[in-house]
Amino acid sequence: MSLKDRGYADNVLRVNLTNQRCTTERLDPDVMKLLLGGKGLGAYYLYKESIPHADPLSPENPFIFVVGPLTGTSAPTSGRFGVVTKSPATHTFLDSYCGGFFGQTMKFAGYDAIIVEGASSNPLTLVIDNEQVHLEDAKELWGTTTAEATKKLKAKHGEGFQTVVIGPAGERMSPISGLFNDERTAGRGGAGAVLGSKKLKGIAVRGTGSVQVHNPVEFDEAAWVAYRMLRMSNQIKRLNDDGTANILGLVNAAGALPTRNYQEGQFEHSAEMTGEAWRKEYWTRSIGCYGCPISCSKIAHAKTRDVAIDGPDFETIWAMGVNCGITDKEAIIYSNYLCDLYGVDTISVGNIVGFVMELVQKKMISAAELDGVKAEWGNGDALVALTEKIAKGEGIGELLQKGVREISKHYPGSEDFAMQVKGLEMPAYHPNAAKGIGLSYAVSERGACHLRGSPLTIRWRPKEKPSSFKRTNPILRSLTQRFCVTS
Amino acid sequence: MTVSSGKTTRLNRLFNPKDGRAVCVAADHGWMSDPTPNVLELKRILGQVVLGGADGILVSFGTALRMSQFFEGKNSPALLIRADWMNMPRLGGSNLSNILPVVNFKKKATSCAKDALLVGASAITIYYFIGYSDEFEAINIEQAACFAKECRKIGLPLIIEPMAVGGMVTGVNVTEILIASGRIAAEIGADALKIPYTNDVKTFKKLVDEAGVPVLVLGGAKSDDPRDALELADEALRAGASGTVFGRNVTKAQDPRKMVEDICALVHGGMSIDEILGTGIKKRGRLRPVAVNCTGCQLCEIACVHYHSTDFDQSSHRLRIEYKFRPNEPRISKPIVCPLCEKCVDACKEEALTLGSGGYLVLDQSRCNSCGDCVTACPLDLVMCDRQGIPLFCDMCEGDPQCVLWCKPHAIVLTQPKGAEKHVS
Repeated sequence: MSLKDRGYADNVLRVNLTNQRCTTERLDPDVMKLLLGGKGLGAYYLYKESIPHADPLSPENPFIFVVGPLTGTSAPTSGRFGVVTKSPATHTFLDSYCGGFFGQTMKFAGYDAIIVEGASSNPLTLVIDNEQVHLEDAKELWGTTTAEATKKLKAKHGEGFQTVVIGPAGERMSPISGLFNDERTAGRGGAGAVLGSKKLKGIAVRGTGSVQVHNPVEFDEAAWVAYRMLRMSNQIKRLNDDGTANILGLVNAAGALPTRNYQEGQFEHSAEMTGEAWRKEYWTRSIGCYGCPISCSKIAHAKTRDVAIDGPDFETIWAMGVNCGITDKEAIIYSNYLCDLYGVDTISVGNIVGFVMELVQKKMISAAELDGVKAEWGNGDALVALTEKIAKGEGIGELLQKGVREISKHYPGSEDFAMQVKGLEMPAYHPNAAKGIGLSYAVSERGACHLRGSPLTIRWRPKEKPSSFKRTNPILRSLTQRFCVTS
Repeated sequence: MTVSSGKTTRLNRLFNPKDGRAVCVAADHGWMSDPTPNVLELKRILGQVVLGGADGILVSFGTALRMSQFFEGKNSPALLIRADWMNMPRLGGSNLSNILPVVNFKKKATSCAKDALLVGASAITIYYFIGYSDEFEAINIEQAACFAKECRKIGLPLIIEPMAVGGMVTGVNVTEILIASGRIAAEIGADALKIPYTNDVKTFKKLVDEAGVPVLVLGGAKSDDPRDALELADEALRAGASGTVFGRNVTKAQDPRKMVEDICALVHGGMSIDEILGTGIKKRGRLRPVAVNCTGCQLCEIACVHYHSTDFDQSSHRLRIEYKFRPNEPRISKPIVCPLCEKCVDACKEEALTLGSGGYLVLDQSRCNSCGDCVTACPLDLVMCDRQGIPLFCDMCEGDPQCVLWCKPHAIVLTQPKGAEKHVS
């Protein structure tokens, strides 16, 4: 039984940017028995090919796109792809995932993984048309926004191509930069910076091949039941109606919604920020990624500016709203738009702005240092101004784009409220509300990550009132110190 | 197992003596959660349910008193009373349903078997929680055993509803725990079970076999598609279940009466789902896109490809999702489907491509010379040639279009336009 009739393409594309050679190789069937899905495959190649102590932004750090055996089939929510590399933010293992339409196209083009190694001296894009692979000059794309680069790539190669690109932030090698497939993002951990260091602006891929499953009859039955389970699930219904933000009220009620840079666990205006409120005011329609019936993505049109975005999702609403004490939805939408355009992670940006606002509150930074921005809690204009500076890397943004850990080094005494683990900014669940979250952040290989175990529901602290939580959590602190891998 | 005559009499009222099956409707919501619209309109809905021919209705004690009219008369449904209360879904509106910590989780008996008997109940239903802490499980068992004892004394059937929730339950072991809980409930003294489906006929059969008492399958959250609930019931019956206790899938249905009638047709009438819903029969019609409903997930394309081939790809679909990119905006999608304009039929000089008697396009492969005229004739660019030069066109999956079946937001629908008949020879 070959890998090919078990969902795999049995083919890995290796692109060496240093000598600009593209080669393919087969998967090792014995090794594949030990690996689970795309993450397993990516971790295997990263483990095999990276050099100890290599700088994440050096040519020695391989960058790997992966898909799993289910990608391209009718299995629900299987159209995602992952990127695996060494993170410039955490200096350790990074896997970041993205929905959209790139994953299955890469699989149909005939690849389980694309390994990008080395580095180029001039900007390049990788063009994959099934088995035809070549690198081409990307001088006119370099410096452009993600939307423009995507548009230009599609105009050049055709609508049948799917793209991933980095924005100007990735080119600048900001450790909070991500990569973008249309409006979907592999945001966390600075994957964009690694591609930026290799001077690879993006990939355009077209795939007209096919994917086989081993037993189509049983596969179809299982897929049909899985879809039915999704349709008959309360949770999925809520995701469908109110997007990922449907849980905002719940997280707030549990005292786990980090407010004003984690100073509190509950936001007094949380009712204005729930998915329901967004649906009533902004969301116009739902959109779904490839083969996904859930369609948790919502489109929001700003009213005062001529922009519309896919989102904001729960983490973005929290990071740019709650975490900065902001309820100005227009500001959140526009900041999200800027992040997408310039290619940075909204969770990290929201965290950085929240951190800066606390610096201002504690009078550790002056308005002059912030280029005149009055970064007070709840100021939506300040959020937009700071986001723009971070996204463009201008003025104070040059420092801010390096992430909370780096910024806190410049402001002695601020380490205690720099909310990060291993250099990755924290996501939207307050560790004080559930101790397990703290443990999860502390021991996760990706730093403070909301996708590594969610002990959220197991035990809230029942006796205390959520609002009485203090941020300085001795358990989290000791765990972080004990388990953190520091570079 | 010897059952007292009282129990037998009352079980016979619930389970149809001819086939030993029962169609029950759970309407005890609002008892532990927020009043949702279906709860507020319970009177109207229950009227519909009775007209639909339900064998039993599960309600709280208060509802049983207030709406006793539904349970009067010779052919009225059997009254099932929910005899305990728990606080888990109490704050349903604010989504706290599943996050109560174990220490805050409470379950209390709210009425006794005798009271239920006095208001004319044919059985009582209680929860049995499995998967939380051991102490909580012990309390549960004690309470259930207490109910069982009471019921035995007065000859009232006891229906136990095992709930596999809590920290010990994971996606991996939930089926195993459910199977065990069914047997435990039967050992405690349940005369029937109300239990969720395991989503697999094989494991549910094991559950039914091990329980050894009649098993009624419950429905869970309301699906937008009534077919889902029927499929679930059908699979459970095939596994040996004795009927259904659907709640929200009935009470929240657009037409609760029709829903109950459909379930009865399945459970008692032995009809197939296709017969009940009128699907499966090849229907004449045309595909119509409803762009505003499209989420762009491309499941229609996947279904289209997979119907015509065992493999998956994204290049041989006979309809497509078109994306519109506007500046500063995310993509907007709409389905492009074959409107049966027959331009390809007109273009085919060999008369290989024709509109068949079923109302969909058919190709006579022996006549096709792969000239590609049909490909160029299609104004929507939906016809293409495969590697052998054979045209791929929308054949409406021979009258049962899969795109319509898979598109649950209804962005592609099957319509019967006026004058469709005139095309048919």
